[in-house]
Amino acid sequence: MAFPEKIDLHMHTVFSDGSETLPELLERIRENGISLFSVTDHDSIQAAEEMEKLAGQENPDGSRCLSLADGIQCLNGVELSCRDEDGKYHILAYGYDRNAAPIWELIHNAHRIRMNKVSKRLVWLEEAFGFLFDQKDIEYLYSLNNPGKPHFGILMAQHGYAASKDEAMTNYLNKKEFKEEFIRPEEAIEGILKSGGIPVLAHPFYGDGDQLILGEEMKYRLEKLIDFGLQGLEAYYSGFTQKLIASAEELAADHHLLITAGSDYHGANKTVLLGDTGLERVSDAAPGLQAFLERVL
Amino acid sequence: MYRAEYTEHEVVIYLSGRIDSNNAPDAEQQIQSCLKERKDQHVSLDFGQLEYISSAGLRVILHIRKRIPDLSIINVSAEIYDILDMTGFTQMMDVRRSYREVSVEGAEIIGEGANGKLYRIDSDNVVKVYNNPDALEDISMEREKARIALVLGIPTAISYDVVKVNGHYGSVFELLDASAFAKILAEEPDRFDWCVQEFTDLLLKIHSTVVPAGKLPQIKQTALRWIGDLKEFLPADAYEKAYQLVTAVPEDNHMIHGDYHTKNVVLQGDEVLLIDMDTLAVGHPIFELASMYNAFRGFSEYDHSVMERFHGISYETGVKFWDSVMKTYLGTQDDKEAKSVEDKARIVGYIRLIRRSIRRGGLETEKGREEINLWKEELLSLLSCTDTLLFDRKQS
Repeated sequence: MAFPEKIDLHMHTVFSDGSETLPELLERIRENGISLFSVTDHDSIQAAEEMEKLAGQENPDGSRCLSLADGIQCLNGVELSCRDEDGKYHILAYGYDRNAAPIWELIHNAHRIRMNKVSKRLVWLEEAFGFLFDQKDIEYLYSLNNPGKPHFGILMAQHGYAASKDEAMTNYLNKKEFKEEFIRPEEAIEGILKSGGIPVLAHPFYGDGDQLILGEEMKYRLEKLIDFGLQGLEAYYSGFTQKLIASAEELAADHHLLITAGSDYHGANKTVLLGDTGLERVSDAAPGLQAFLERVL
Repeated sequence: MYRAEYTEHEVVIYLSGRIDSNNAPDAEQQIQSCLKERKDQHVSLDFGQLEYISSAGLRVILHIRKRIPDLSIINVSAEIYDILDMTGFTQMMDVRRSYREVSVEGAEIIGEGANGKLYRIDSDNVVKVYNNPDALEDISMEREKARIALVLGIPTAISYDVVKVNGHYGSVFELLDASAFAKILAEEPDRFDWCVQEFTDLLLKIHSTVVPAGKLPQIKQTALRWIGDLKEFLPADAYEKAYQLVTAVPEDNHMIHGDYHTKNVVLQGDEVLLIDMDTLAVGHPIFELASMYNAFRGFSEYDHSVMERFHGISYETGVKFWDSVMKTYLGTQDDKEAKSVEDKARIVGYIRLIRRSIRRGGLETEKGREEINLWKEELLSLLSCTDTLLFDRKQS
């Protein structure tokens, strides 16, 4: 089987915290010569739905991997934020059935949790500091797919409650977390599997993107997730050094896991380059990546 | 906003505070804007004031590194260095640690060698401060030599940390309650015989230690370079003779210390330790005896007060100690026999002394010229009556 040479299976659009719309992102994908990609917005599968419209008629309803007119392929994706007693995880789902109930349940649940957090945070900011927001700000927060602390920070700076977004984050928003409700990794993995998708651990050594998990701790976390049904590791990642990539390849081989490659592109919101996954050519990759492609293509 | 300094060849950007997912994009933007004014200079990120970096921060560094492949990171604390090491940053780019500042003000000098001084900084630790201000390479070489010696069974101390002392580098060793033999000789004259025996036993142990090929330099090659440096200074026939004598000494795979004197042998508890390992080499023991002759006699031959100043013992005590060590080492009580080996050692010793003094401007002062002439006359007379530098030692 001939594999695509350039792939990027981890990127964000305005449906979560990316800066580009799906058509804008598609333009970039073409410019970059990427022949297989997946949009993995945080807790949102809106891009997968939108893609179906953009892809046109050739693809049957509920396709897990869409073929565009110019031969570029798009794999259904999503990045789910999870947490348990051992910390945070980002779990990617690939090639799920967009119409399956369990994946929707996860998305709705994640959205509900975020909205609850917005309400609780608004109450806390008012009660603790007397910060009040306009009705239109509150509506704006609720209208977002993925409202988070940075959105509050921007509004606080606009209202003069803090000198800048960063100051709002450091002096106020980071002081209190609303952790009571979260999706556990086993719930996410179960929902992905039940929707016919492949659960993959995103940026394995970085937790939710801000930790550093190495050695025995990494092994412990990984083996736990494998018990839940995890099937792959994002071993090629823009934020990994060659040493970390090599460790991830080894972990994947030791545990018979599939491998994926992703940049975590966010458009102008971060400086990651689209297509920068630490992997030059698919043919250079460890066997786990080809095994993944065989599963989804 | 990060501060940046621009010079003709270098841009240094001073990072500070924390870099985590909350401010990583902002930190990256700040670095990028510092780089706007850069032309083609080398770029260093100074981590001196950086308190914490999360993996989101590591990704920022990785992005910058992708744009600037020869990026350096400098002044890295031990904690952050560990993170950079575990994640593979130290292997892929130039990462330099910051060094703890240590004061030696009022500290006792317990040892002194050609390359630096050894100070006691507290009851457990000593620091060797290197004369050479750019000594990092020397430090890692000495550390490697000490490791080789220890593996081969020579008791020594290995440095566990590198620090800064008044702008110089220092390496820190654990050395509990240790006294150099020079101090014991000065303060406890009744232990003279014991000192001779222990000092000689360790010397014999060093000289009987076989070093795997290629691990340490051949001292003979170094000695030939010393002679080469005197080509213009010595009469042609004397130069030729000296060169032939050293050339005729066979290469040898036994260890020699290279700077074996009473400040580099210390007593810790009841263990005799060898320190100052930077001159460790392999070769024929005549080269060791040559440097020992210099330490106990050569340096202070013209000005006897040198002995007192350097070793803290009188010239007479030094001479007596050297004489006793020589005889114990050679396994003889015969003066003539010992003298004949000493004369061979003096040939190499004077060559080294003359070269050293000339390199330090000795020919430019009257005292220096007189001293060099004394050594030169002795050397010429020894060369005329010596046919080989080889000698035998009675096995005890």
